Order: sequence, then C-alpha cells, then structure tokens
Amino acid sequence: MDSVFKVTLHGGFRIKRTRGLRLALGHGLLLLVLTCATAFADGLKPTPPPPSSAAADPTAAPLSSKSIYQLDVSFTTDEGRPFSLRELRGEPVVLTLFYTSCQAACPRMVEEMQRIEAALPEKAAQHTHFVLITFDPETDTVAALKAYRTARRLDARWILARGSTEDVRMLAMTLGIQYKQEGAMFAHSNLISILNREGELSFQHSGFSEKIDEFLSALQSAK
Amino acid sequence: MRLGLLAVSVFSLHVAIFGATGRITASSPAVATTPPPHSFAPGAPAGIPDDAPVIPAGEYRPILRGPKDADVTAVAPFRIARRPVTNIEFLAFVLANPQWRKSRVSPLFAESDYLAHWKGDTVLGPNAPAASPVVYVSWFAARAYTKWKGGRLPSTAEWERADSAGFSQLDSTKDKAFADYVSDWLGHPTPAILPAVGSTPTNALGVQDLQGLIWEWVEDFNSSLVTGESRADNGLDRNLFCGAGSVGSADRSNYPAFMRAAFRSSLKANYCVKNLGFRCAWTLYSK
Repeated sequence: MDSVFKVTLHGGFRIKRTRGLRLALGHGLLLLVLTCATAFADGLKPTPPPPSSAAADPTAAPLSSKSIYQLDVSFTTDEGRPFSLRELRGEPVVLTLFYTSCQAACPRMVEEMQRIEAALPEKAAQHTHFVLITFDPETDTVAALKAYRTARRLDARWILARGSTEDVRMLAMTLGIQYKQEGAMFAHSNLISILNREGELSFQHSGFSEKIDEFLSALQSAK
Repeated sequence: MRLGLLAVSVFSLHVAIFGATGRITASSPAVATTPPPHSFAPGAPAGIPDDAPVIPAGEYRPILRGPKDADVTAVAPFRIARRPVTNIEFLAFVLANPQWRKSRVSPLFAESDYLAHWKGDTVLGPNAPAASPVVYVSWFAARAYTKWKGGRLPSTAEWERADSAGFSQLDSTKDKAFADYVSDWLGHPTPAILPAVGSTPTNALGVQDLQGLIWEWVEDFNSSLVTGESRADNGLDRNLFCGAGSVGSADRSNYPAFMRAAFRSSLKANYCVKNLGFRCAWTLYSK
C-alpha cells in the first residue's frame, strides 16, 4: 500500500495510482488550485468596459506608445485639486516647467505662452490647455501657485500644478528638460512644448522667440 | 515522500508563474556555472541585500558648479548596492514586468537600442552573460527596476560620495593605485562582452565596480548643465538656459570627474548605451 493508493472520483469508480503518478497528481492539483486562484483573482478585477463604449469615448482607448500620458505621475493644481496629465487628453497642450520665484526666464516663457493664447482664434484657444508645472514644489505651494495665477492674470484655461520632486523629475526627463537647484533658484532649460491630442510631443522650442508662428502652426497640426 | 511532493509542487509553482525562465538557463550557460552575485527571487523583490554597504554621512564637492552652488554638499548616510545590476537580475524584472520587454517598451521610455545585447525578449544570449552588468538600459528602465526592488537610483552626490574612496584610503585623492587604475580603465575601449560584476577591487567603503567596468545612471543626471551655460562665451544662444554662464570648475586635476560630468550632461533619459548600467541605492533615514 505504500506505493499504491486509491482515489475515488465523483463517478464512483476506483483507479489505482503508482507513486510516480501520485507525484504527477500532486503537481496537477497544485496547477488546478493555481488556475482556480487566478480565475478567482480575475473575478475580482473590475469588468472592462464593452468595446462599444471605448469607440464612443476616445479617451477610453489605449494610449499611443509615444504618449506622455503614460507617465505614472500625479500633481495638485493651484485649487488643491488632484491633477493627472491624462485629463488633458483630447485637446492640444502648451506646456512648460517653471517656478514662481524665477525672476529671469520663467516670466518671459509665461508671457510667450500668453501671446500664443492671444493669437489663437477664440474657438481654438478654448480647446487648448496651457499648463505650468513647477520645478520648486517646496516653495510653490498651492497658495503660491494661486497667487501667481492672480498676479499673471491667467484664466481658467491655464492649469498651474505642483508635484513630488520625483514626479516633476520624471516629467522633465520625458520632455528633455535639464534643471538644477542652486540655493533658492533653479538653473533650467527654457523649453516650451506642444503636445497633441494624444499627449505626444509634437513641437518644442528652446529659448525665446519674438515670433510665435511656429507654435501656432504646431498647434494647428497637433491632431 | 512528502518532501518529494513538496519539491514537485514548488517546481510546478515556479513553472506556472515563470515558465519562460527555462529558456533563459538553456541559452545562458553562465547561469548554471556562475550564480549571480546578488541573491534574488524572480518576481518577488527582495529587501536590501545584506552585502549593500552603508555609506556614512560625508560630503560631495561638485567638479562643476555655479556661483550660487556651495563648494561642498553634505550627503546623508545611505546604502548602495555593492555591485551594479546584472543581466540575470534585470531579466527577473522584465519577466515580472512585461511592459519592459524589448518588444513592448514604449519608445518614449527607451530608444531602439534598449537591451540590444540580449538575444530576445527574455533570452540573454551569448553577448549578455548572466553575471555581467546589464547595459543598454534607459534611465526610465533603471529607475523602474530600482523602484521594483524597493530602492531608488543614487543621486549624483551619493554616487560620487561612494566613489570618493580609493582602494586602501578613504580619500581617493591620496590613493595612487586607485588613480592609476581609473586612468588605465578610461584609456581602454569597452570590451564587446563585459566581464562579470564584482571583477574589480573593492573600495575602502565596501563598494565594487564604480570604476573599471561601466558608467552608471544617477537619479539627477539631468542636473549636469554643461551644454549651454558653461560655453556661453563661444556664441551659443544663452537664451537656451536660465542661469546662463554660471558653471565653473572646482578641481581641474580631477579628469575622471570631468569625464563623468560631461558624459551625464550628454545623456537623455531614454538613451540606451552599451557601457551604461546602474545600481540601486536605499535611503537610510527618511526626513
């Protein structure tokens, strides 16, 4: 009996198993348990939306492989609201990184973005996001960002946000922005980016430009 | 007999979850003969490896710094992996995180050379010995790995602090043997197939391979602003950077440090380079 044992199946018949088969049975049982566990775990997952709803809502479709919205980062707006880049999907975006206490380049970059906003046809401007993310989350609290919005007269189309040092670095890396803290100041690339409706980088401009034609045509073609 | 059943059960569990690992060992004979220097459990990130030394609090003197930068930056104590991450360790990460396979990775996070020395998605092949450092990895991939391991990439200051020791002296500037070793390494091209990690001497802080094997990613490599502002006098557009014309040199004799600063400043986060790998670091005390 040591090398042979008997198993009664639900059907009521008895079969004999050798020691080797017993091991195989143990193996199989484990796989069965694993399969059941996987099926159970699957059952706990939220039911994916039916394909028709994805077709109706373009934001439910998978992101393109070049979309910056794939980044697992999160921010907080100057209103204290959690903000995900993915919210911007569906409309073109003018985006830069800045910090409110910057007395050199950042005011000029924001002015440049304001000129872009002013030059856009009203309908296009209404469907364009203007986003400022701070390099300096320590100083740029929600209140500081709110004060900056008021001082710069930035309307509701503008999103001002702060995030963890890690998440800001991740975004900066994705956009190819170099920066470095120097005491209370930051040395940084002066770079304004345009994202298309899918969050893909469609245009970047380094430095300052009196002409904003390139931005306008980039926004026009930012499908 | 119960032990036998247990062994088979464990094996079956392994196969059920990590079926592809059989292909790895088949194509990488080094796995069987040379165990990876870091113990790891596929799919189950371990804690901080026991052999990861604690780097005591110290200081970092940036080789390039702006007028507003302090001469010396204090570095809090931290732990750093004794050796860089190996191919086999990175393979465990790729198996557990399929979005980091060569065929699936987003071009945003890794350029086309990502894991170029691997034979396939989950096959190392002859150019990527299991115990050699993983290279051709982007900053994003390196960062994702360290996060998966419950760690992070070292900062520039931390990496330089760990490298501040020589082989026999805590101050590398007083260790001629170390200086000669580094100069000799920098004078040689990267071999087609990299040696195993741990093949270089241990420094006085208990860390290996910081010199003599590969270059390594650091968390804040994009803070090496030596592209525009430090060359402002040569007519490059100073509008490109805020804080222009600010960077000067602290120690013109430290040629390897210049090399590292220049190399870091030339990188972008999705670059994958044949001699650029990484290692994990861990915060010792949270703020």
